[in-house]
Amino acid sequence: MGDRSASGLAGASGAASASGLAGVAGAPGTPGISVRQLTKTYGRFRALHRVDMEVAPGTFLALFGPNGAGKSTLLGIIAGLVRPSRGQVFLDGEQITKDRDEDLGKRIGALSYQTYLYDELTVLENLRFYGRLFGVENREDRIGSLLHTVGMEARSGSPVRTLSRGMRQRVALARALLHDPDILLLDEPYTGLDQDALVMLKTVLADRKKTILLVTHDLVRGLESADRVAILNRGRLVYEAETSELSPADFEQTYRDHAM
Amino acid sequence: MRSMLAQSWQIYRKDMLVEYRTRERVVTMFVFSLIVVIIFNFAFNAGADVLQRVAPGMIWVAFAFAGMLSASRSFSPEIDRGTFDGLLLAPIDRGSIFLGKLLGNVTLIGLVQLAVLPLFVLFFNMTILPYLSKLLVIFFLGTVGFSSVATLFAAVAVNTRMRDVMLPVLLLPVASPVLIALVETTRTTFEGGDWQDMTNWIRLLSVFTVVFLVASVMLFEYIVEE
Amino acid sequence: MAGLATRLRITPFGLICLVGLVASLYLSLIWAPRERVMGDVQRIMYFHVASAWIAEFAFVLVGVSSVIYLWLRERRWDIVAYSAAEVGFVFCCFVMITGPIWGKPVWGTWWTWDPRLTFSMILWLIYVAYLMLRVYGDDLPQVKTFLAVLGILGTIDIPFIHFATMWWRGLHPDSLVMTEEGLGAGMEVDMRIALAVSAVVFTLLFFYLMQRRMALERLRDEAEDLRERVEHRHPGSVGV
Repeated sequence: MGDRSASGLAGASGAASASGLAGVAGAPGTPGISVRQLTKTYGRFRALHRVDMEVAPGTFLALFGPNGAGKSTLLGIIAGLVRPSRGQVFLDGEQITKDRDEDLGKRIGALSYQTYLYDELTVLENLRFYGRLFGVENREDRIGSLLHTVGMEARSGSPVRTLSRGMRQRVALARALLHDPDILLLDEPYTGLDQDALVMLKTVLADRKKTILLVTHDLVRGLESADRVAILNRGRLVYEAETSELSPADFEQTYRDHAM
Repeated sequence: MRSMLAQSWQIYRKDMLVEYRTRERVVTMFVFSLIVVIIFNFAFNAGADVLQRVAPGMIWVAFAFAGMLSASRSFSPEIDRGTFDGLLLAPIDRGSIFLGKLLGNVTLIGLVQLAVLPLFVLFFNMTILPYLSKLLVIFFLGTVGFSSVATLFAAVAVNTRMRDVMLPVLLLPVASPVLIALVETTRTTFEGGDWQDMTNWIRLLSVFTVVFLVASVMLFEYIVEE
Repeated sequence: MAGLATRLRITPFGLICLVGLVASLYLSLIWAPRERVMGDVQRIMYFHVASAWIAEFAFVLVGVSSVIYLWLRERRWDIVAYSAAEVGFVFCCFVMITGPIWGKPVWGTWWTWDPRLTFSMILWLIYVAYLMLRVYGDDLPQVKTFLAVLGILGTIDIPFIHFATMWWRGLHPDSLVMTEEGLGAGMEVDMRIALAVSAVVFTLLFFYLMQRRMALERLRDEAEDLRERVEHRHPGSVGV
């Protein structure tokens, strides 16, 4: 962890050595998330406390933690929805926490338990609206192929109101992928998904061209997809490990040790 | 700047499509304004001459409250259903979200004004046709000015515990110069006055509208960031 | 005596304010000549006008510190804005109370929609909105930003309210300088001196109260910090 963040910093200052730093988050031009000394306080409550975290490009980090651990706050800061009290976030080696960069949204795809869909509009209208907002090129083709991927072609004309929770989540996935983002931020994305949809989401997430940060309670699902895991508790990052070094049974104990 | 207007337009179109499907806001605003007109009639229980004197005030009380309803409802469903974060995640200038919402509010209040004004004329036995062009200018200026502040404060109020109470408390004192100006110009117009008789007011309305529109677009970005 | 002064934490600045207040009371209530038409009740003007000035000045201060707060995001500017609003509100209340007391014998009625009174009334409502948002929004993470926005818009609004209330009563800008309410032109030199002293003393008093209010807010922050630290070391030991 320590040496990785050090090299990430070096990468951010010297673009010439980027090839030598391939695979390190924070190097210019390489997609990846780098969080440094991030602190967020809400009045009296300290949601995040000096969090350092790296998600190397093309890797999948699953972040676990009990309710109120600061997981959603961390995602919110990375997505540009929440202003940090102190600390920095780098995306592609570029600091995003100083001033909001409008193009930030183009790099990030967000899928959460909230679908961001309008009940009164049809699936197609929702996707077209977001497609325009995100400046997606070849909008109709893109929407068509994504609806195919998530298996919602047949319902493209239905108002979202009439869809089941699982179907909405599928459309929300299509929405998140619409602009082909480098980085995916997932906040409890499994909410309401049925077995088929879970398989589909897993296939999508297996695409290692994207950098993925997942926040969830679901230890089993998180473990089976992620390359790395981390535990956040009381606003602090208390544990980090490679998934390959873990066995699911042991991890449950590890989680209980760190999150309680 | 052009892309900002284009983005506002997208938000506006989406809002209007949702409104077209539900008609929630327009209908409630219309019914509300209608009730205000009727209740005011009871409240004054006066002869035609008195009613005609208080009519401009009544009109703007009705529209101010209808405007607050519209502004509040332009944010509350988005916040409650979480779609507002969807807008904030988009790669757009956040001022364009404000402009889109403002445009929607002005449109809906305008529609309600179009529907309610004839009823005012009917109930209060007023002449309106000769003054139509003047009223159009006054109403447009005032509605844009009032809605700018209303839209901004609605974005604040929806986050508070007592959102329905907070909006009028925040908005009406700040918007009082516009409301005074609107009542005065409307009264002058109905009394057959000309533009010269209300230069000051028109100036105040225009400057207020421009100043608060610009300030609101700039400040909105701060409001929506947690 | 010294012990009491320390216990009450009377600072030199506070002492100056106290002396100034006594001097101003003497000048206004005893030294200044009796107004011919209105009589002794006119003496309330010295405090009424001085408070009105402070009420308006304080809100401009709220606005300016709000701009700086949004720019720098430093808690101390939020404290300045909040303290100015609270102290300014007290002065604004004083305006609203002394206005009718003065008005009753002079106008024969407690309240008239005189432009200055109407202006103060609207300003008072903006103060109320600001303080209500502070209280009912204290659970919100963004409340300081919201307050800054309200502070800025309220300050921009002040000239608009001035003109609106003035024209509404059919007055022209030329007559703005305190001629209504029986001031200005007909005022004797001694009266002007008493008013000027009163205005200066009230300004000093305002800054003194501001200073104390800000110190209190900083103490609260400090207490909160300590509580946080204790809570972190010994979870559950401090009730929140």
